[in-house]
Amino acid sequence: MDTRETSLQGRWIAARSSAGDVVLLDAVTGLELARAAGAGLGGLVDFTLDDANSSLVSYEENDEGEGAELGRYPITKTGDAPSIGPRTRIAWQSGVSRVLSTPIGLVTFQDDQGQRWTLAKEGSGPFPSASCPRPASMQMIPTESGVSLVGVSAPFPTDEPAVRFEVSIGADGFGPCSPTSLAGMPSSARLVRLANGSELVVGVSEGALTAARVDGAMASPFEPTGLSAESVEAAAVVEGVDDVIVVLTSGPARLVAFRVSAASPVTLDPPVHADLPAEVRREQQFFSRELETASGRVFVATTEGLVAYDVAIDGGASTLREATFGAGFPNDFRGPLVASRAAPH
Amino acid sequence: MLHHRFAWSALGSGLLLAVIGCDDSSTGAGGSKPINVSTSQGTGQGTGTTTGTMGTGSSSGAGGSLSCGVDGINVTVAASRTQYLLKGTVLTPTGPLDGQVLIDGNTITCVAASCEAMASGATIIDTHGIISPGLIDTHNHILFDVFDETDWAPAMSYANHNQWPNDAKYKAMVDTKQYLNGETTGSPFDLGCELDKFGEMKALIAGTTSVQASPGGANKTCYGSLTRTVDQTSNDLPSDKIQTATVFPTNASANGVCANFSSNKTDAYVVHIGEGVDATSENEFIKLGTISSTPNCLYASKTTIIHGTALTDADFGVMGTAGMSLAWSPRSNVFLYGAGTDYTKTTNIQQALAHGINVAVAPDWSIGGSQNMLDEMRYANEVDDARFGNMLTSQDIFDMATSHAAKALGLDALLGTLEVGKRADVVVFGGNVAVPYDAVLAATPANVAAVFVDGRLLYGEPCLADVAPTDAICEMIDVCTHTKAACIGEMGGTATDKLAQTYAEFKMVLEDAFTQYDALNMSQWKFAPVAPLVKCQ
Repeated sequence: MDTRETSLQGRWIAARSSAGDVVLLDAVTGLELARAAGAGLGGLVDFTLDDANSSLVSYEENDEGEGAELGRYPITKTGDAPSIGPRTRIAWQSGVSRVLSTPIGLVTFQDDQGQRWTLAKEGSGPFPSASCPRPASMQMIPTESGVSLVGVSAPFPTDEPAVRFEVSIGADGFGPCSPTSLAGMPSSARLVRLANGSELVVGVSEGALTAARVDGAMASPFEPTGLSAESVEAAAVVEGVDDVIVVLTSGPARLVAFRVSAASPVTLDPPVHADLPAEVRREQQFFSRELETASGRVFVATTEGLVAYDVAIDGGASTLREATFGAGFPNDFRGPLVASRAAPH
Repeated sequence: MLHHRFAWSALGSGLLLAVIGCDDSSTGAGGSKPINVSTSQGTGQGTGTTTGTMGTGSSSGAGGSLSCGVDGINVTVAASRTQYLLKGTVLTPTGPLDGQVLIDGNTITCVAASCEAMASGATIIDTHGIISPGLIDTHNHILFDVFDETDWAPAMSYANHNQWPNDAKYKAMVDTKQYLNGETTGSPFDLGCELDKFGEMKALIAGTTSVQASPGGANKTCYGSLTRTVDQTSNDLPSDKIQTATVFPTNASANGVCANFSSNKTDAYVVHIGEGVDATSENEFIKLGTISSTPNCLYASKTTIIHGTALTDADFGVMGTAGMSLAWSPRSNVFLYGAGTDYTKTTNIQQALAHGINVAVAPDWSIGGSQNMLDEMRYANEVDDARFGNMLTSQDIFDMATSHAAKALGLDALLGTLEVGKRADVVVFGGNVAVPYDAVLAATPANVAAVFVDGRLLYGEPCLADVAPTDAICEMIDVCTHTKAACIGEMGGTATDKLAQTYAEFKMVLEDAFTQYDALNMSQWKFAPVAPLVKCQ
């Protein structure tokens, strides 16, 4: 067992079976650890995990996408292995939405009679909603009074460029949402924020994957990657390998890794990539959870199962190596993916 | 003999004046407007003649007769509460007929000059009015019908539907709806039934028997207990094969719809497209053809475009070629995009009709002016007169609210016309029977004399309470100074399914909830009281 797998010990990935059950998978081996029945509504599913790994909140749409049920699965730990309890209903939600657990409460990004964010916290509230666009990507930044969500919008179905947003969330609810335009924003843009506070957007320009540095009101593109892509589905900083970002594209389905400098302004090394063995789900309205990272490992949900890659720096360059995750086990698992939080040191 | 519990409530004021409990021996209903009732020997089953006033306990047993209402409905009472013979001016698919309609259970079993040979044992209602298929609302957001334009009105004329939801007061109104509907975690309320029923009641009293309501897909049993909430499984139809979308479909959802078309899981895909007056709105229609992996599969006869305000003649050409339908909501369009007065800011129906598109008319919601289908039909007529040179006849607009609407929802085999074998969604309007389509177009809820949904007599002139289904809970309500009987509660309903609720009861629940929500001071605006059920002009 290498050091990476040591750091992944005890961690797990929440995913979904092809039959709609919620499953917890060992992050090292891919072995199924626990399972609970889904809501069985037949539509799209989203997950979010609370900070203490103690429950998984699910959003499960009906098969027509007219609404969804929010539910909660309790997660407990018995010895080294997690177990998942039966789902309890939280509320019905009209329209299409996605969910995000924050230390302040559960944020729901909605599109039903307008694009709005709502905040729910047991024992307090209600809070007024915020008029804010559907996020195509966002990262949660701790602040003195709570958290801030930074990301870019999903302008679908319009051809307008995405806008950047930064919204604070505190005990009193949402701060103002004032989206700002960035000149030069590529299509299907996703934003990643590096540990040093620098921001990059990745997207598609003229049929090719492109990355750009956010400079004030500009998105300044780096050198062309030469990688064709129809759209970017997700992008993230690799947990545990802070100077590498990974990008999930479709058309073709591909995982791309860039090494970034810690310098300011940030620079980008040429990418490495792995062609995925199957297609990935196109995500046009919101962010995708088909890409997840934990301790240097990248998990991808394809339409035919989960795959994992280990990210490393070798000779100063990033590398992608397919992991043995799931080898030898039936792989009927699908997204969304959520990794358990690393134990505090 | 009477099997109904009566209550009395005054619409608009929210004041419950009296509730009279279950009684199977008297016609107990009280109120400020006594209704004269006479009972006399009927069709060979009579038991004598008495006269009295509703609320005083007069008898109206089988074989008796009753009369009430502005146009003098006469009822010959029989034991049956499932078979009704209606006499009057019947709006058939081929035109008006001085004739009869026989309802047997949930089905129309006869439409003819005379159905009496088949009607032995039926309760006979001589309407002296216009017997029409129930109106069908192809586009509503029913959980918002507790609001009206006093709760929110545009601060400006907008260009597309992405703009006005950002208005702060609009957002506060949506927060209110979500809280009452239990969509907000921690909300003590779960009033989806009450919200939906209020919208259904608004529709019912205006002669509407089906609403494409988009209540959010929760599929509650109570949905469809009054007017059919037709896009939910509890619609009293063999299935729900209507798929609705309030947002533009993704590639995945578009592919799902196309697959559902192929497998006949979906008979109607009713989707908001092109709402607005700018290029962004129009591009939605163009993108609809490319969003699916199989190009143009949503340009299909099973697709109904809601709004289409920004569509061009070329777009209508595409729709016409594909046999698509259109749900037209002129009042809402002009309210949001034309400052309430600019009729050019609604869909160009002239172009749409020129391309042979099946056009239905529907109010969208109560916010903006039209409270119901009758209001919206009149508004469509106004727009037609002012913008299109009066190209639409009264019958054209009537068809848009009935047979065309049924087709737009894929329900034309079951609903939309008075034909043998179709479901008994039947409405009786008062008015000048010599010009019946004009009379329907001029009708207000005060002129709605009877409404049957799935053969169940739910609403109408007060004496009809005596011949409502035996498990109905009836109450008397005031509609613009006219007393009406609403028999919408169902005995045997439970606290869970809420089917026993009367109008007075669910209205009071909503009023209390609004007041409690306003007390939370979530915004600078207050939304109590609940919008009126009807606006009297």
